[in-house]
Amino acid sequence: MEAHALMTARQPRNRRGYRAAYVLTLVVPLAAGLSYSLRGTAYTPPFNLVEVAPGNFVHLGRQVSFEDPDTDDIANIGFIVGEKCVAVVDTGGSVAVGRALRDAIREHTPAPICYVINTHSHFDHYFGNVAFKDDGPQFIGHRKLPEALGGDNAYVLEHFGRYLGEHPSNADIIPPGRTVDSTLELDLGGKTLRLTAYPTAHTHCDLSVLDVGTGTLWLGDLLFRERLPSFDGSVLGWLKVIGTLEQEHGVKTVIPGHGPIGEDLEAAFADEKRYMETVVSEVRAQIADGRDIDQAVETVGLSERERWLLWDQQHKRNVSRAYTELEWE
Amino acid sequence: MNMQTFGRGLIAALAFFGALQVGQAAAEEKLEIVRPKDFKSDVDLWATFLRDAYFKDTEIIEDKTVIDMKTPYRAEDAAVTPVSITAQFDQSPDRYIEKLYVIVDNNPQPLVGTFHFTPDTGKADLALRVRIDRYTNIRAVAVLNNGEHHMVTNYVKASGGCSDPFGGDIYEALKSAGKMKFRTVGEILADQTQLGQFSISHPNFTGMSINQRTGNIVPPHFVNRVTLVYNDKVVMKAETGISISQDPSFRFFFKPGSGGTLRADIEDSKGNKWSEAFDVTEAPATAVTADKGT
Repeated sequence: MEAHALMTARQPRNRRGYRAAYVLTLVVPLAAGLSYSLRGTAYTPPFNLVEVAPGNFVHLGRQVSFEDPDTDDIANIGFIVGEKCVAVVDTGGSVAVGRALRDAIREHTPAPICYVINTHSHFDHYFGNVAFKDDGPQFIGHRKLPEALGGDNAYVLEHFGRYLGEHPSNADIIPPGRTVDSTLELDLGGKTLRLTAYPTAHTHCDLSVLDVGTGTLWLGDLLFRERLPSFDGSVLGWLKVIGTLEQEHGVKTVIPGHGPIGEDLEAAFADEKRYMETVVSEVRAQIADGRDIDQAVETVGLSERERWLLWDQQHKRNVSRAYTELEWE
Repeated sequence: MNMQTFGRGLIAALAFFGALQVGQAAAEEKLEIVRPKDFKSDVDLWATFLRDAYFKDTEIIEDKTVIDMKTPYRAEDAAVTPVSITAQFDQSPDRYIEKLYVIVDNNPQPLVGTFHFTPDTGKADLALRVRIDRYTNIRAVAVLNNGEHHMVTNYVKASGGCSDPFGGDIYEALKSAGKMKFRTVGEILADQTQLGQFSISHPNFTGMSINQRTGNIVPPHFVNRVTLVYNDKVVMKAETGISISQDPSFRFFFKPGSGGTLRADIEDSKGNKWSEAFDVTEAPATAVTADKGT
């Protein structure tokens, strides 16, 4: 598992070479375990940052698994700078990553941080919110995001609470104070952002951010590139949302929640869409053939295997989720 | 560096060694019960508590002469872990399985359910989907008509299946509760045992997840009785609990003969009752094939 995380995209895996795989399985966890011990629970620099379009700065997350020791820095996060205000789009999976992002903002502009936007409810995108609390920004999210973050977060605190400090509690999880029903425009001073809320897709609360002037679209986890998408909301709903997004005109830069920056919207969605359509059609065939979940997870989508990172950690779960959704069609 | 972070790193490394050992065993198609190093409890709940609680002094034979069980080594979705139990012989009036217990040792409610069969069942196979809260042993205990208890045990890696945030809209899920589906799998042949799949739409709330809208615990609300009767003969009767996944689904065998009616009676923990009848005809709507057994 660990070994796969370190490979680059499109690199074919040794499917039969069990011996080689075992060697990697032996060495890599030791290295990962050791580096984790030395580094402790905090993210450590250097903090990469790219200006992908005028005023749009992206920090690219690492393509490692949730099961890795260091999973606080896996999401693409960043900020947009206007003449009057800065808007943050996702804050990373730990207070440390959030602080590193805040430091990066301060290197580029003294403008106040007016908005912190969270694209959805997964911890790798919002645990860093707490690093911006003292700036007093408006925290903004989908109308369903408060439901997802506002209650008891026992599950995420138990599994990932270490990224919030020594005594993580619900108070460290900051839900939005302002929500988006369908769309919302924000003026940063010479820059207009258009936020769009979607029906259930990757999650129940996906939100995108468009910098209208430069045609830069921040998609959060509506778009995974190279890293295998994870199904949490509805795979059919997600495909519908992709269909809607492909109709957008004037997008010149596409920022996925995970993976490299794209230029053409349709091209950027191509892999994800093909993967999801493949899983949907093959799961439907399994259901029609009377095969149960345990058989479906072993056979569905295998043609996609070499095209994605972190396949072993996520694919079968996706098939299982798609199955339980599609069997009630 | 403090001891805690060092410990975590060490545990991560050990966990992968554990996975490696079992990976090799699986390659030899052996099921080995391995307790991983990062197991959260030192208590063997089965030995210290459950065995006595469920079976008192009854002798339990651990072998595969009566049933075998298939579970994933690692549950990909802990809230929906497929478990299939296969009987090693057909039901006959002389020798049949009258009851199956399914137990997940480390779940908050270990007994998933009890499932009753008759000689008319054909074959006492059962496939179901369970929640798994943490790394655990899963057990199936078959009780024969002569009173013998035979047990098989598998080890499953998973976590979070019981307290995992409910994956949907609570209010929407309750709206469709009680909707049922039944289908036969494969071609129906007279005088043969036939695989059937029965599913109920029900959120099966565990009582451990949170209503994110109110911040309150969602009270337990689950299917606790399932009775399936085919042409007035009981095919399966089950008492079930919160360890059954959302939208409970069961696969089992029955003898369709030349057709008839399968009646399903469901009851949940709040006293809601639903009934539905399904026609079973000799010629299925579409000719479909299935792999052997469940």
